[in-house]
Amino acid sequence: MSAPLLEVEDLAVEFLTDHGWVRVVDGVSFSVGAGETLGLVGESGSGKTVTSLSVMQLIPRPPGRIAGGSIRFEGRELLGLPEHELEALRGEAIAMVFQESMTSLNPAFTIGDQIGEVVRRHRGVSRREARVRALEVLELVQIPDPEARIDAYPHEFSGGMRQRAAIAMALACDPKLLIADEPTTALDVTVQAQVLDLLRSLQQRLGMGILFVTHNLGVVADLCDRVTVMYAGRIVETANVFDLFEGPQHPYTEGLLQAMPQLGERGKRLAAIPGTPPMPWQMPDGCRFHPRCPYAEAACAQQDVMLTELGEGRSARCRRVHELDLKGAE
Amino acid sequence: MLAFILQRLLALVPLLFIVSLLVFSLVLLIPGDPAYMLAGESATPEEIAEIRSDMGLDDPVLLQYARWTGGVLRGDLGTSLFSDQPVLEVLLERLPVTLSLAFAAILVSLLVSIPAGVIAGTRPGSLADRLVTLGASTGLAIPNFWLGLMLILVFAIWNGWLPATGYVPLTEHPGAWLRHILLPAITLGLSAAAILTRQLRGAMIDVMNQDYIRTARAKGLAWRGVVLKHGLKNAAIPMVTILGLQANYLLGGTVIVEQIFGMPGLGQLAVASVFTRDLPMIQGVVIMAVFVAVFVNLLVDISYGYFNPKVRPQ
Amino acid sequence: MSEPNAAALDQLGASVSARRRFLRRFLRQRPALYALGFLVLLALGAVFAPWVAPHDPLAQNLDRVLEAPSFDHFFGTDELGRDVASRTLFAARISLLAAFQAVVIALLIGVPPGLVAGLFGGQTDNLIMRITDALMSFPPLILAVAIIAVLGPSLTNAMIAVGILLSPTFLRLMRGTAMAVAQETYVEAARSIGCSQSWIITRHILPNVVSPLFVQISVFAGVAMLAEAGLSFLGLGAQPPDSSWGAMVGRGFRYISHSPSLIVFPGLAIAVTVLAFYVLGDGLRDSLGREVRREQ
Repeated sequence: MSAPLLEVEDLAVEFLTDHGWVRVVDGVSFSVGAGETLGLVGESGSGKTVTSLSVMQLIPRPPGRIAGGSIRFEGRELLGLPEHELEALRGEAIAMVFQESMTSLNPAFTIGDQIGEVVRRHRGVSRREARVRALEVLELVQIPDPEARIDAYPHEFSGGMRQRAAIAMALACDPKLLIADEPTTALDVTVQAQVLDLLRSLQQRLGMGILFVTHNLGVVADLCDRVTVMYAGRIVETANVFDLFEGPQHPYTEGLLQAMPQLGERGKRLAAIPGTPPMPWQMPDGCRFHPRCPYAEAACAQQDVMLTELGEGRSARCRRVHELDLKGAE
Repeated sequence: MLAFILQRLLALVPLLFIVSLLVFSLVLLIPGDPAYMLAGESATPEEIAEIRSDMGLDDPVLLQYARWTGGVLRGDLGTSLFSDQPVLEVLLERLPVTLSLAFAAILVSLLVSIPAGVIAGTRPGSLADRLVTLGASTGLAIPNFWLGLMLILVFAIWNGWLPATGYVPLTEHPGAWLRHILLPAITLGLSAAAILTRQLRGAMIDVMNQDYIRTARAKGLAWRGVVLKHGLKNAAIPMVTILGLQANYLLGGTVIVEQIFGMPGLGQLAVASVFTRDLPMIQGVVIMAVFVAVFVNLLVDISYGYFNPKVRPQ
Repeated sequence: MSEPNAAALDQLGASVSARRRFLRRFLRQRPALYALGFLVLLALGAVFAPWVAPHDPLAQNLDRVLEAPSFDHFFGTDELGRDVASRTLFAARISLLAAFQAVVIALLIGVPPGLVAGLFGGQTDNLIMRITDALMSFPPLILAVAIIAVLGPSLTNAMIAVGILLSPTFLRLMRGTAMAVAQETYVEAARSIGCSQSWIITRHILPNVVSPLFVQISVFAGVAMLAEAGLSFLGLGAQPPDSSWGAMVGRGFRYISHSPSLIVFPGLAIAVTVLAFYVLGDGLRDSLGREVRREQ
């Protein structure tokens, strides 16, 4: 395994709501190695996006706050770092791509402007040199005719092209870690596949680590080395991607796998997980998944469940992890 | 770009046509006999008859309108009933005063509203925000003539720092121009500043919650740069629209402010002409004011494209 | 834990009529309630001015002219030795009445064509909106001065001018509501089975427009009061012996260096009253349902 680039340990994030300070991310730990892709998977509201934003310390404050834990990048603690040192890291060593390219690019500036801006910020180069670099990265993300497209505005791009431009912007300073928050979710399926191909080939060429946040396990299988599954603000399972798909160790992971459409299996009903995830201010006692879990016993509602280490970097948060024989993806 | 401007100009034609109808019909609104009213109560029948024939009041209304519009299009706005000078000549003499007052007022309103709106809009709910919001509401409620008098009281009468009345052309003496225009411009600009501040605050709150602000932060830009570059340019879009509307109000406000500060501009002329019953002069002032307002709004339309690339003509 | 209760409350709220919800939300707007209270007190003070005022507003005392505020004369005296406090209270009658007049005139001019434009659409709508746009392209105060020049300087004429200036907003509001309602399927259905226009107007358009109209009326009462004050200040509005707050400031202008209190107090009266109308308007707007506010 590669040396850890990013180590998150026991992260806790809280938001101030009508119900007081509510913990939306609780005791989350994971690591991403150089050149490795970690998938962070969960339903909306599971805390995966908040977790990814916390790494960059971009959660809105107020109402959010990081309540505890540690985030280390190349061994250096990021929590408590002064703002200007964080700013020097953002967009330079750690870059981010967001879900909605329509709204995450500024409509009032050209694509070239927005890419050049990050280069000028971190490399201190002239406008002209920044433009040369912008052209380079636009070419890198395979935007056709970059010379002409560099002066276009975001609204003049298609969804897929905009997301490529957003990736180009993230890559402009050769980051060591790329955080991608559902970068393909808003795209058509065919375009989605192209963007994923692009990300995979870019990673092979540039060797950066990727933290890939998604709700889509299919995408994870396509791209990731390891997977961390989150539910209701906590990690429920971590495994490498083959192990996870072959033999999930948490009932929630099994549910996600069963809910995944399989190619070539027409007419088979998709098994949806019954119920809905709990609101952060009314977390159930005991295992947070037990109200929806088909394997739940009375004891599951009683005591909190710890993560069980299963060896070879695997772990799962289930009382019955050693009893259950869960179904993987076929 | 040229096509865009031409298209806008063409769109103005029906508007200006209706405006001309409205301005012309002011004469028709005069209760009783216009000639009698214009000549004044002590006029002899001969004088009334003279005005009647001068203004062609015996002709059919349509002919009167055609003659009047023809004159306006040729730049002939008639002759003042009071001073016998050509109306256009008087207007052009006074236009620079009003324009420099209006532009100085716009400048004041921007200088006040941009920092205030940005500070309030980036920290909604903070003490600074509440102070700005309260100040803006108060600024809207204070009558501008009263504000002008208070400024005269404090800065001219009590302290003697600035002159209370008068006007010096910019071309004659820039320093004196500034000293004379400062109080009137603040008087006129502050209510516009209040409206613009409210507008900018709202737009800024909206913009700062947009995803692209988060993107800009993720690029490593400092907060200040994010606000001033990525935030302000987008928040300026609705503000430009309001600024266009405000230009109209500011031109209207010159009527009062010029009166207070004794500035020989169009507004003062309009008020004086009410008392001298100089209808051609009033009509001229209105036409000129609409012309300026329409021109300013054209400029606003064009600048809109700079802030919002989506509406930029291809 | 409080969630189910809140949900139940919302359920309950949905069954209460829109107007009662409006009222309930309005009663929670503290600043607006204070503003309303102030305006009611002011109106009462104006109505009962002859009993409330400490002095006769017209009684002259040439021995005591241009005095600073004192215990006898809270706001001082004017150039004829008249009590400024009493004059300010009496002037409230003129100022409030004038604002009311202007708003009523604006409603009379704006509402019917707005309804017609919204209901009929097409060429009628086009023509009405063209005229409205032209009206709005005039710098407002200059147009008012021109109208007064023609009609002659008087408070009523000034308020007609202000009413004309304010009418386009009412027109647009009515037109927008009428258009939205006319496109509702149930109104089309009603029309197809032969329901009359007046039925559609009274049953469907008016109930929808009442609340936003109140917001606009409150704000415009403040705007009209400012406009009246400006015109009276210029001598184009209230004529002696009548005196509005603006006219008082206009007369006091001449004595500004001797007796600032002559302009300070009537000016403050205008500012506070206008602010009250605005705050009331803001409170009414915030009491509108989200749905309505979005259409605004």
